[in-house]
Amino acid sequence: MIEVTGLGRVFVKKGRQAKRAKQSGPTAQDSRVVALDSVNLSVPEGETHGVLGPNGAGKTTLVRILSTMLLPTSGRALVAGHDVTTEADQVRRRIGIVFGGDNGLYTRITARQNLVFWATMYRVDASVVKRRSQELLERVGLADRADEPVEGFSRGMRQRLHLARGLIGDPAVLFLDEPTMGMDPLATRDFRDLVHELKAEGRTILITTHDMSEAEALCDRVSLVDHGSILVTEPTATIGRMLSGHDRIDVTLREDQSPLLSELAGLPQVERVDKLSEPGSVRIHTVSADANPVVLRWLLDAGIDALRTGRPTLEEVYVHLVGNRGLTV
Amino acid sequence: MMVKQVIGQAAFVGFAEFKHVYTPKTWLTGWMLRLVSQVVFFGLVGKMAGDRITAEYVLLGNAVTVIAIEATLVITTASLERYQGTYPMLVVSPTNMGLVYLGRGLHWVLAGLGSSALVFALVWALFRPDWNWRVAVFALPCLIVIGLGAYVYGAILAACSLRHYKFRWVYLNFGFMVLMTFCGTNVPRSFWPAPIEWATQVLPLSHGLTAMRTLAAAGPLSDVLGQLGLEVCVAALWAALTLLFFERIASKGRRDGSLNFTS
Ligand SMILES: Nc1ncnc2c1ncn2[C@@H]1O[C@H](COP(=O)(O)OP(=O)(O)O)[C@@H](O)[C@H]1O
Ligand SMILES: [Mg+2]
Repeated sequence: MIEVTGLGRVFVKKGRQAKRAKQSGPTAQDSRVVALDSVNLSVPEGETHGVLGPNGAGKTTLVRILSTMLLPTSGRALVAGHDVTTEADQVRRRIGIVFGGDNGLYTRITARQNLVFWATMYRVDASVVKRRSQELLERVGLADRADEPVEGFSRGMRQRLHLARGLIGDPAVLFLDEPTMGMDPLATRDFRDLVHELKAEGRTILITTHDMSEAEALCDRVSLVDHGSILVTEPTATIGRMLSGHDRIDVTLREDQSPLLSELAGLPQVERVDKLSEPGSVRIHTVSADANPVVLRWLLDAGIDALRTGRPTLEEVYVHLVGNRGLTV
Repeated sequence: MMVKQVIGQAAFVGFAEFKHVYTPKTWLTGWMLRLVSQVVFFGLVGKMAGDRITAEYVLLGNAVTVIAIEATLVITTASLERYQGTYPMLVVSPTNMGLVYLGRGLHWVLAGLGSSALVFALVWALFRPDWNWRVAVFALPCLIVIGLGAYVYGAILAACSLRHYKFRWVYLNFGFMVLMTFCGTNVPRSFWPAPIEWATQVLPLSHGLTAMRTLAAAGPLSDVLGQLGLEVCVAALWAALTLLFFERIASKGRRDGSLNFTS
């Protein structure tokens, strides 16, 4: 549904901005920003795909190109079988766009009127407009405020209206750019339920976020992005395998148990022991899955019972590849 | 017809916004006062500078030009569009934004019609011009045609102002100053050098205003209709250009990256 090959986008700063850049450094390179650098990505029909990365990684740039708001400077992108550069109109009929924040609505007219307006822009058949608007308003929980002007809406309500707006053309592909930005936890939960529903309807969804739990909750696969490049694309459920094929053991030692640490590290089944951020907590990396029962037995015998086992999480992979920049959990 | 629905929906949003632009009181004390002072000023200047004929020439010109000026305010609607972030969403919708803008600011034409009519009534009451009664009868269709012509001309400037946002006020002022200066409001078009006079043929207001003047002078109705027909052609030309210009600014915006979700 989404096929991206060698996609790149370079911004050239013009005028005063470029002059300022030139003053701070003599090379012409300074006025060029590589926002996206030769990205390859393939998202099959029906997949919910997460694009994760810190601020400035290039997530929005990717979505802008795929949603025909921006032309790439290199490479090619197909959405729903059509080239975003040469067949923008075909692409536009098949996509929906939702972005975070409360901008992008006509505030002087009602929620329903907004939907009818955009339905017309998306060439929805006149006989369907009324019913579909009502359905969407119910779906996003705005049915009882549907006939009030949007100017009186809270941020959360506007975001829900945005989502309905993005769905008005019954899109096969949906782009969500940081859709839960600034939403409260309850709204976020409702939003996730809705995305699950949309997925069940067979829509292809590309969602950008820097929220790990959001990606884990919603996405079949994720791509980690940094500095305009995709670092890795993996199924969300198994991405942890990148760091370790088997469980690690986290333990918390009481103060009187700390001498055991060096003994633990010396065990032949233990590859290494890392300190965790909580005081007294360490993560034990064993040499293989078979080694785990042996090490667990040893720990229990030594009286260490504050322990937990688990695979590496998406968050760990992110921190491993990107670092701590722009992380929200 | 999708075209009709798009223009209708766009106009609907415009009218909804317009209700918040003025209250009856601010319209009367603000906008109307400004217009009336302008008309009276030019009327008095005309009276002092010359004969009654000159004064009436200037008064008619100004009363008609009011609607042309107000119609170009569609540029401010485009600024609002950009401010509230709907501009990029319109660009990436499957409908040409130019088509949307053939309707989006139509409220300014209606407002202009109101202003023009009011100025006419006042001029008639204050200056008792020696105009043929036909002016009163045919003013409405003439003013509508002039208003629509100036509106689509303004829509192109609106497209330009979306592209060069910093210069939106320049476009607005430049837009109506050109009409006011060259299209026969205060001085006949023949006053200007030939190339300018020639160019005014394809500007809105020129032919419509001539039609109104012919009416006032009790000229032949066939001339009036001919002039109005030309005004309609000019409007059609600018409407076609509006569709083209919006496509152009959209593709330029896509190329240079000025379209974003947040602006
Ligand atoms: N119109 C533009 N002009 C210049 N640079 C831009 C423009 N848009 C984005 N960039 C740059 O491209 C990079 C990627 O931005 P973006 O895609 O918005 O990142 P993200 O959405 O991941 O936070 C940033 O360095 C940003 O400053
Ligand atoms: Mg972003």
